[in-house]
Amino acid sequence: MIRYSRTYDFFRVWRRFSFNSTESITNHTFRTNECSPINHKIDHNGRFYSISESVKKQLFAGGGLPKEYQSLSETLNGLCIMVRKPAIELIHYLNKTNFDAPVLRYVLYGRTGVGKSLSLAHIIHYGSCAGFVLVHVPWVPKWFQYVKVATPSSVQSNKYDQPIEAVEWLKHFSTQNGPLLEKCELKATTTYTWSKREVTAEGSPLSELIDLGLNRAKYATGCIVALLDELKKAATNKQCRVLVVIDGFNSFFSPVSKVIREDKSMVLASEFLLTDAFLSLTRNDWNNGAVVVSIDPLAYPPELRESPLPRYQLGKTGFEHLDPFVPIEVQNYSDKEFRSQIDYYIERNWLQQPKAHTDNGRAELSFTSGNHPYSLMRLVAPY
Amino acid sequence: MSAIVNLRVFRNFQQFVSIRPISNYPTSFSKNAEIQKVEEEEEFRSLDLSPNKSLNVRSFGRKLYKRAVVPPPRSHKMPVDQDWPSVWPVPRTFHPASVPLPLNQGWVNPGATPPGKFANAELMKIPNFLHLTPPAIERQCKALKKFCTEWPKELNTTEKIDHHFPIKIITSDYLHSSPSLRDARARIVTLQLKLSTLKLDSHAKDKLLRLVKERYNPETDMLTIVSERCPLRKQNLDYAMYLLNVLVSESRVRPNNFAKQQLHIVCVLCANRAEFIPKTEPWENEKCEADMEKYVWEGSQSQRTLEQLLKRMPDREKAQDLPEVIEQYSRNVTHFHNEGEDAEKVNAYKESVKKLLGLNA
Repeated sequence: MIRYSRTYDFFRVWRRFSFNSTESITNHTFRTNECSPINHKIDHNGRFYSISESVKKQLFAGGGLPKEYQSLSETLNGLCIMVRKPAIELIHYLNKTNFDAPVLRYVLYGRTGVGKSLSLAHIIHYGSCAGFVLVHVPWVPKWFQYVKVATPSSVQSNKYDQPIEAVEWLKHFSTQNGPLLEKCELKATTTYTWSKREVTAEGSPLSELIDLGLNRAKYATGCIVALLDELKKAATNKQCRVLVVIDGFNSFFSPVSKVIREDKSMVLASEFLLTDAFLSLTRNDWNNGAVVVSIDPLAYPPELRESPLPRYQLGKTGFEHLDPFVPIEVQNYSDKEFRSQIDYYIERNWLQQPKAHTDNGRAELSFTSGNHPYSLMRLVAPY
Repeated sequence: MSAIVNLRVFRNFQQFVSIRPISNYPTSFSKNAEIQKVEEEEEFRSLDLSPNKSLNVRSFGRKLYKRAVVPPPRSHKMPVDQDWPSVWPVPRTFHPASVPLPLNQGWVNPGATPPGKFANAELMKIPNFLHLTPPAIERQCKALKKFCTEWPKELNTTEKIDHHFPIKIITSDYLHSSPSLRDARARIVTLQLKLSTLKLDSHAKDKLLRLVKERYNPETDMLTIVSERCPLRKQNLDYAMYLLNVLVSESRVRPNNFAKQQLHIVCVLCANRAEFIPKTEPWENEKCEADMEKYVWEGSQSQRTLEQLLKRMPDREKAQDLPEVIEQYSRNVTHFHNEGEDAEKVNAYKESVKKLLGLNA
């Protein structure tokens, strides 16, 4: 990405100052004042709702928003997410889920850049509002493609750990769910012995387990495994509701990995302990929760990106793992969504070209970007 | 041959062509008196064994070779209504003087006329069918007709022929004029059979296909057995039939249905058995899902997970349409794996899952 150029910084700063006067306008047709995702219905389709800074800090501090969108939201003074069909559909399903039944798995799929991650962000906000314990993996390929250190596991001898990534994730988990976990008072159901001196006793709160993982990177992966296991049990015992949100889920089934052993052989995703833990969580052998995953061609190496459809992306193993799941397609902008997106850019003074107000200008933008959200974002950006 | 070489060399130098005719055949523009004389002769040409010396020797004692007199092309003298099959009765390389057609062939720069038929190697290279003109074919068919028997009236459609004679035997006869009448290739027997005529069940078909391997063509459903290991055709034919017998009886699970079989020989073989035991090899039980030719929902992982899921589903027994929903779901999953996916199939799958999980209400 070439975004961090000097010109770009200049534009960002300049624009941030340039629209302070227009900050108060919030009741345009392309906006909605309904800021709680629980109430989002089909009426809100194509409208933007804003997420407050504190919520953003709580939910997306450790990732969850695409990097470019994150920086754009900073530039545009406030995070706004468009309420789109896939998210509405998902919220509709989640609202009427029977939580006594085994968890349902929802799979968001679509081409790269159509807004799967943002739909997931919307769902995370929903989960946080609806009182779910969030188990959120911002981007799975990070664990396998860009892993910093992989060590043989301290828990299971034939598996591998990613201590740094595990600590990061535990941190992310605790920021997302800290207050909720305290309220739920979840306790460990078994005693976990990490070493001679480090023991998580039965009945100790889960935050202790998390703290141990945060302080002792060596056991962080083991802590995640234990934590997810405890959450599953707690959900089944109706102590809390768990919403599992995983972005780039197909990476768990990727046949290629960047982690190389000394003898030049690949450490596949299936050989990591984290994979086992999260695959166990996405099985439907528990209830009182929901699983929302997204599959993205980008989570696969470049030679395996022929089709964005779920069977190709998940492969046979992945498909059978999730089956039966509800596939939800995320598509390009519809006309209404496109119009509202342009309106949003204009209102934020991000799109200052006068022709953008005209129908011809919009038609040209629509044609050039092909209504593809990411392409449009790149197209209207001044850098 | 020299004429051809000349042509190749001088093709780019048109002036050479104009100075010296490269063919032995004179063109119609440069007929000289001598040729005129030859043309008038109706008798056979005679071979001059003692040529007149004075013609060959010049006064200053140097030998001069006289070119042989070349008669004009035969095609000039051909009548319009001649019997062409007797002029060109058998396959033969193109000969310009015998073919009364104004042919041109060969690559030239665009705009120029391709070289004519004389000394044209291009025309000689390509196979011609001048011996297979429609009258020639008709004449040969007429000559062969007296050796043929009449076609059975009842077998008037291909379907009937295929139904009554499912096995096709292909052999070849070779005729040539050589000291021996025999040709080793005549022993080869090809047996062809549509697999659907055997009426095999899925297990038997699977096993048969594994046994015959590449001899089966799935596009035409044709099984082809070529037998050439025995020295005589009769032996090869017997061997091919034997192979077919063995293949079918090996692959059958429930040979009870054999009696209904069209294949006479198969019936004869199996009638000897007092009791028909299902024939399964010990290795057949080892076939797992990865060895399947295509995805079968029954017994698959998908079915197992679904059963487990339904067990743990609260109040799913109340639903009346469960079997249909499961049926639809299984069909969609199978389509997914067997036919590859597209947006339509994903949507169909989604709908069936929604019905299954009670999300539709």
